[in-house]
Amino acid sequence: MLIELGQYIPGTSSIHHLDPRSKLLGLLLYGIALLAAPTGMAASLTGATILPVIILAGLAPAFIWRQLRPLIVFLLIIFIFQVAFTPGEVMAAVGPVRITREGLNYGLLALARVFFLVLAAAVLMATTDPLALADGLERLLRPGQRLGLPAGELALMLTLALRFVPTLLEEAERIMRAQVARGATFQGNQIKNLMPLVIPLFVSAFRRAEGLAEAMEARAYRGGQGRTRMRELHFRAADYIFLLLAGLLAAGSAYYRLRFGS
Amino acid sequence: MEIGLQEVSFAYQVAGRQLPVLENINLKVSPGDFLAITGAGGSGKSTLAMLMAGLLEPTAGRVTLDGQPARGRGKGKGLAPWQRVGMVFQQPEQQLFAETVAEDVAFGPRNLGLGGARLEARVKAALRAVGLDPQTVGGRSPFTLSGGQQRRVAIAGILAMEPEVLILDEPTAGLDPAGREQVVNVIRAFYRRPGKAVVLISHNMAEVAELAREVIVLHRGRVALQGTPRDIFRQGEALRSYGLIPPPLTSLMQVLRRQGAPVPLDVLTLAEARDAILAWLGV
Repeated sequence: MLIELGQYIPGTSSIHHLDPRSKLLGLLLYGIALLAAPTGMAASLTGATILPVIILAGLAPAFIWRQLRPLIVFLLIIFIFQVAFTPGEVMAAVGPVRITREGLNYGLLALARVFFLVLAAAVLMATTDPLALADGLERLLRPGQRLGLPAGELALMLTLALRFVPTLLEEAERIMRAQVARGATFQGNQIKNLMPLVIPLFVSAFRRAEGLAEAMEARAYRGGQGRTRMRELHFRAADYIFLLLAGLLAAGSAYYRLRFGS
Repeated sequence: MEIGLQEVSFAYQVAGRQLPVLENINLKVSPGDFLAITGAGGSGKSTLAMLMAGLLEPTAGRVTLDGQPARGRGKGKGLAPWQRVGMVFQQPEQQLFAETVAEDVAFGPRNLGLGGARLEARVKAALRAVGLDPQTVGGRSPFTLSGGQQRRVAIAGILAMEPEVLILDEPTAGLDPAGREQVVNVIRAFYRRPGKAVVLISHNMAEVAELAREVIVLHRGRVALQGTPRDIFRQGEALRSYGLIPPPLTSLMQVLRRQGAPVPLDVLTLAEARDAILAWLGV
């Protein structure tokens, strides 16, 4: 596989069995907690609450590492910029670069927010069947339908997008091999070098989209109104506990910010 | 150029587990060979083709080029020898990307470092070799061509790199009869040139019977049968057990034989079949 981000690892853990709505709401609350945390240290501690979830889900450290590896450079750049360009109390100076206490704090804060959010999203994707995820999203968005939010269509788009991620990845790998057989290297930063991959991929994606639209119409698909589900979603005790914990985390973090934050 | 596979095995890594695809494959392709690799879907044909083209590396065993152990393309400094092995993928028209047919065909040889008049000559020769006129078709967008023409443009893109061994994975799948015949003729013309070798991956038995000099039947990642087309197609029942159906002429001979007609079973061409039947009828 070229890219493993967002891969679903089927399993039977308690996290896998949570209702997709709980996991989506949990991610939202976790995000709120992360954003509310006022200091780098607080955000790191807040973020670390994902660890028991990872352990319960039985995700291997190697898998987590592969998910986050592409992000490392990006995170380091964020961190270095924050550390180097935030004015404040100078702790150390290396040439013209001043490392400040505030810089370290903001650097850690930004790092922790992005790192843990991506980690949590990866855990969500790894433990939730993409179709269940789209179902859950549709149910969560349904109240918005009164306001004109096309929840069914959005969920369908998401389902289709998720459904075709592995297909397109496979296709990308195939086309890449074919171009490598023609001596392509895909090295260098110029966008031009990617054309032999990108254009065939687009052409086939459009062709697939057309075929899919026709296949759906042929089976009388006419949009989301009044559709029934094959899998009904049910909250269970574990879902309430999970949401309670996530809610406490968000509330605690917000309280900490109001009380001690700047 | 000689491609050798010695005790080659290959397994895909899926979620930490090994999924064996090929086991203990030994084969050799030398100049002048026309090897067909056939087998039911999922028997490992395409994976074997990619191993032979250096696009995958075996998980065990080794691949040699002219007797020298070779790593995969792009690994180490090993690109140069692989340049002499051309690979046409399944539905190669899906890899077309350039604005004009000529540009697309030029992509491969340009990656080999060619330019100017030599590059142009290669492109023209390759387009002619696949039966397309460089003057009229060269400047058009590949996406305006018919499916069969697109496929031939894609094959021209490989021929323009002037490989010594041409590996084709289901080159005629999904084409109409005319397109199929044109592609078969391109393959024939390539094979007729001195020092060239062809590896054809196909589950079309009629095509294999018509073209190949040697046939390998894969079954669940292992070589189940190996021999000349006559040897292979004589074994109708064995073929069926490997999920293949003998070519129509061979099947016809088997039916006739079952009816008591003393016809040979190893018939490959229409002319042979006609002669055999006429001989039996005593005409």
